[in-house]
Amino acid sequence: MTASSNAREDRAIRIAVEEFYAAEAELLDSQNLNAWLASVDDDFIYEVPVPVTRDDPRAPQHSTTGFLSRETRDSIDLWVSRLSPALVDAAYAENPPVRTRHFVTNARVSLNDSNDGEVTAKSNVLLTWGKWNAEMRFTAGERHDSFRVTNDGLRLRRRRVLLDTNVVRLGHFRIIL
Amino acid sequence: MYHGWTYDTDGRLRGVPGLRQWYQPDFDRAQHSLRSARVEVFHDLVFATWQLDGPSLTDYLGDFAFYLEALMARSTAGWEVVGEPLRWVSQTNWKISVENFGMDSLHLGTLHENPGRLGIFGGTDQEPLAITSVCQNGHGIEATKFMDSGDDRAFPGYPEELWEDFVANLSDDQAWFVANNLVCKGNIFPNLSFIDLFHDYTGDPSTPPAVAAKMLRLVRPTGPLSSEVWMWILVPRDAPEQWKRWSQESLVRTLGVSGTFEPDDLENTAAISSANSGSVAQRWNMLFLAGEHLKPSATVEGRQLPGEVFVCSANTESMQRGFYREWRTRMSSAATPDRAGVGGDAS
Repeated sequence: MTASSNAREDRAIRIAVEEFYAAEAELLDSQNLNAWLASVDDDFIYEVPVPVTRDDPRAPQHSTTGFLSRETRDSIDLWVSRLSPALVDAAYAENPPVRTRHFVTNARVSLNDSNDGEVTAKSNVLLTWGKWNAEMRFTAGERHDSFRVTNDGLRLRRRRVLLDTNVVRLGHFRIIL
Repeated sequence: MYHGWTYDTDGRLRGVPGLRQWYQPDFDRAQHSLRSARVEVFHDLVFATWQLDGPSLTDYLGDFAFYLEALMARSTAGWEVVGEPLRWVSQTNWKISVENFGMDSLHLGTLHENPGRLGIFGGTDQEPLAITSVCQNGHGIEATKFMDSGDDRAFPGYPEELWEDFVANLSDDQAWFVANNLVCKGNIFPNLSFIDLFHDYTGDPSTPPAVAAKMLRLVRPTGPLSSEVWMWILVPRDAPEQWKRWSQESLVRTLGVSGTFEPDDLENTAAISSANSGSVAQRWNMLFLAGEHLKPSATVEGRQLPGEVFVCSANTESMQRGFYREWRTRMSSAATPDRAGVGGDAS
């Protein structure tokens, strides 16, 4: 493979990751969790470790053992079932729906592992949250993602979100950041 | 840190930078010790209070100590906290949060109809029996039991190799109370709640059909309509590591802030608090009427249990009445304006 075709391929993957983020934000923000779930891999893991405060600025700021969320494709499938026509009337946290916006920026795509079909990416995520007449709330953090590259495009395998606040201040946290 | 004052481990002031230049010549360090809290330990739970001359912890727990011991002392190896506490803000009055989590069961079939129908919890054909004990000082506990499991020393959802140890550490009545429970929950007045339960399915096909879990939950009032919730997940220290992970996940996915239960509670309790702080709603009392017809049972299955014990097919609102009675007594004796009704205000 020549250097230029390599660079073209790198650029193509970077663009694919950016497009994935834009497309998934649209699905998540339009309460289309079911369609979003189709874009994740079978062994998908979503986790949000508990943010911790330490005196040492060099020490990790997030727990290795405590989680605010730890979900798989199967467990998120329960969230989808919650919103099925038969059950949505009693899905009080999502009905009436939460109005969210995902703002995803600063994507840093790492192609080091791309040879075995894996791509990793870090990005910044800002989520705004509105429901009823409540004051707008927001949260922010850093996504650490890994994707599997398939013939049908990228599939999300793992997402770890490092939140910037110790305390969840949204109405609830049954959301995908 | 600010002005560099240093204290010894008893809280006595030792070092004051610039003591001779910047302060009165008769500056008396002995007058400026740190405030002391009184600390007592009950089966690995550390309690602290600023009230130095109040009752001892044992006296404060009163007849509830029997139950707290049954919950905490049954594992010889002790309980381990998994990870750091989960914390979230709830736009509700602290009392609503406490009674919703630690006391109320009547909302399970209504507010939590959704996860109930998903088969996450309570998928049993047996008719359970709820035993509620209203204890001294506003504490309370309820156990929802299987009465015909065939083994009255079973702890469904816990690793079977631990059951014998659980029983050995407790009195016969204590073991009976905490064994065979679908759920056991309650509240230590005012705001430390607990739950011990098992879930049937939380989204991992590879886990066993039932995994037990236990948590402590503290609700810190941060305003009339705002509280901060702290959640600690407890597992027996000697349980298999894989089981600990299952147990943790089962709670994070249900009663945690991202779970299939807690978000619905958060939505509902915020709505209750908002509506009931309105000028019209303030004219009437909140209603805690369920179980008013029940008479206390002297014995349950031939056992004498501490507290005022009520037996029904579900735990009713006996615990809430005990909780709010205690709260009203304390608020009245603190010389605050007496407001009519049991828990009928939003302060």
